[in-house]
Amino acid sequence: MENYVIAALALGAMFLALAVGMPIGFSMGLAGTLGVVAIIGFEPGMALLGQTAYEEVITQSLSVVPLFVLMGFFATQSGLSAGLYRACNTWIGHRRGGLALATIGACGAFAAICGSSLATAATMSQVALPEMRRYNYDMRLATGSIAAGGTIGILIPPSVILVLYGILTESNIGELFIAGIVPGILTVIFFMATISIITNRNPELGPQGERATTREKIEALRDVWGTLLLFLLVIGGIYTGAFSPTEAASIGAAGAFNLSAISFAGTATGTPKRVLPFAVWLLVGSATLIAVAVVWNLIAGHEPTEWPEWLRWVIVIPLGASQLLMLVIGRYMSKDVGSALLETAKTTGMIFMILIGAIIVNKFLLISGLAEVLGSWVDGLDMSRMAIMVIILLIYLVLGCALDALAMILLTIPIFFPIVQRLEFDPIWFGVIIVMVVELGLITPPIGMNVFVIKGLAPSVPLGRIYRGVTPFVIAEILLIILLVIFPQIATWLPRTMG
Amino acid sequence: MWFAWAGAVVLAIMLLLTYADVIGREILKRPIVANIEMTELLMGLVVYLGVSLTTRVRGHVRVDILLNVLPPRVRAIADAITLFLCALFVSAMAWRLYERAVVKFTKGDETDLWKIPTWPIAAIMTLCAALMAALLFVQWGQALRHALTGVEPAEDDLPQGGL
Repeated sequence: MENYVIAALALGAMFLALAVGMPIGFSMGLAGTLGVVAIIGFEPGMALLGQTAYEEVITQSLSVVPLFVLMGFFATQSGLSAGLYRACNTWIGHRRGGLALATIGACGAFAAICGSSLATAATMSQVALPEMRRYNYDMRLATGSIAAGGTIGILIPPSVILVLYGILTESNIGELFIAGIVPGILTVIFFMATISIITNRNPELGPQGERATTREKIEALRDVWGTLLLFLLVIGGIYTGAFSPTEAASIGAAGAFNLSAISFAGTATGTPKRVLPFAVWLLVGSATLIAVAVVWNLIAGHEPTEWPEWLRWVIVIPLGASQLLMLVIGRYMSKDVGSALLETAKTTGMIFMILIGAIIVNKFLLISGLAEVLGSWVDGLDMSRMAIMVIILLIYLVLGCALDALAMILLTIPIFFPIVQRLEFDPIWFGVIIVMVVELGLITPPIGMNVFVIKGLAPSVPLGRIYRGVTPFVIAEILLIILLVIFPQIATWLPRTMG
Repeated sequence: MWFAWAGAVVLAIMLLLTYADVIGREILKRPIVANIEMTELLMGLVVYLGVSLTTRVRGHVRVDILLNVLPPRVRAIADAITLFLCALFVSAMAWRLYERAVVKFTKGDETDLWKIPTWPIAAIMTLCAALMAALLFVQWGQALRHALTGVEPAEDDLPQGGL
């Protein structure tokens, strides 16, 4: 039997196993291992399994996955989403459909510190849904905007999905993150425009809120600085090349922990509250010093390595002290911290089982030469490369309806990525476009995970009504995807300017 | 739960280590020696300690769109087949990890800088994989019983301790 026939059979068996409910990671791993056993032999197949299960896991660069997941869990617990929503609301809440607009804005901002769409949708519906109920919003618009807004979580960096795409395709994770920024902001704009069009046609659906005073607007910004700072630090650090993605992830997780400790201690009584001012002032002090030192370097034209020794210690000692105090506060919120760590460990285990399976299938498909056969088959097609890309995207759209986002990326990339490479599409651009298609899958029936999350939090709203509410956003997202296919520069120009 | 809690602690250590390394290198020009090899070992622990909880709560991602429309008994039959395959696959994984642990122990494999022996890490990974396989076999047994007798198992009748 030809090797590629074995590969096709193994893939067929894998999809059959998937269809009857075998967990995705195990199906992929088993199909890949058995495939290699069939092509080369028992020992090499087992060797591949062992190597993937050990060496591929023991990889320093992969620690980026649990660290970004952890950052998302800390951010979710921090209560920052409420502040972001309040701030957006005071700025744009007085327009037609203002609360829905604010939801989209807050989702976009929260996405900048959280790499998960489900978490973004869940945390946002807890703050935004009661408000929109209070103002008598149409529930279709309310739930639709939260479900759609939540999807931005995986497009605006950090993004766990883009990290996994980068690992599997060996693309630069930093470039992928930076490439997601402009399309992410465009998504926010498109969704806001959608809401404006809907509410202009029928103002009843989204009544205006009260207009806030300028003073209130300025005060509301207080809730935003933490998120903004963390985003600038993490993504700015990646953009300028100061941090590797792993380092940025650790800064991000630590920063999100700091923010949640600050917001916890701000509302607590007793020791945490008394410790807080010291911790914050030390943190702000050392951060200011860093900023001054950086600016001084820029003016004097020095490299950062030329900082005098005493300055280094003057920065690090207050920073270290503030972090110790934050840990003291963390001691009082140990239940939250513990559950964030535990959830992250569980999620990491889940992600890595799929990742191990995907890596095995990836290697198996390489060994079998199926990619070659598929490639020459695609070459033989009398179609332009654009037409083939459109077909691939359509396949993704269909799959997205049935598959979970993470699983879909890890399942399909080994099969489709070689074709995409052969057609000489930019892998960074493809990563962004795939994430956007996956976003669509999160809000389209029958399996719209974001819709399920909102249904869980608002059981009184029928599922069909949420799906109807999401429809205009689906159309907006499809328009944006088409735009991105026609103008790939939207995604690719920013990473080209990276340091 | 003990395994997952251990995983949570290891994760916290990993975060502190990487964070301290970045601050130390960027500001103090003093990176933490051997941060990379430490993180590598910790990764193995986090992943495999965490996966025990994932398996325990049946948290592995799967496509249940077709399953949900099937009657429970048919679903149990499908589960009985797939869980058995999963358990076999993970057993093979555990076996391969075990061989690695043995090789690392007999050769006295160490990390480059701090000379940390790597076999205990491989041994813990083996243990976790074996535990995962055992859990899957238990879940398979439940599904099989359901498929054969038609009696639905209680919501969660796995042994509580030890995990």
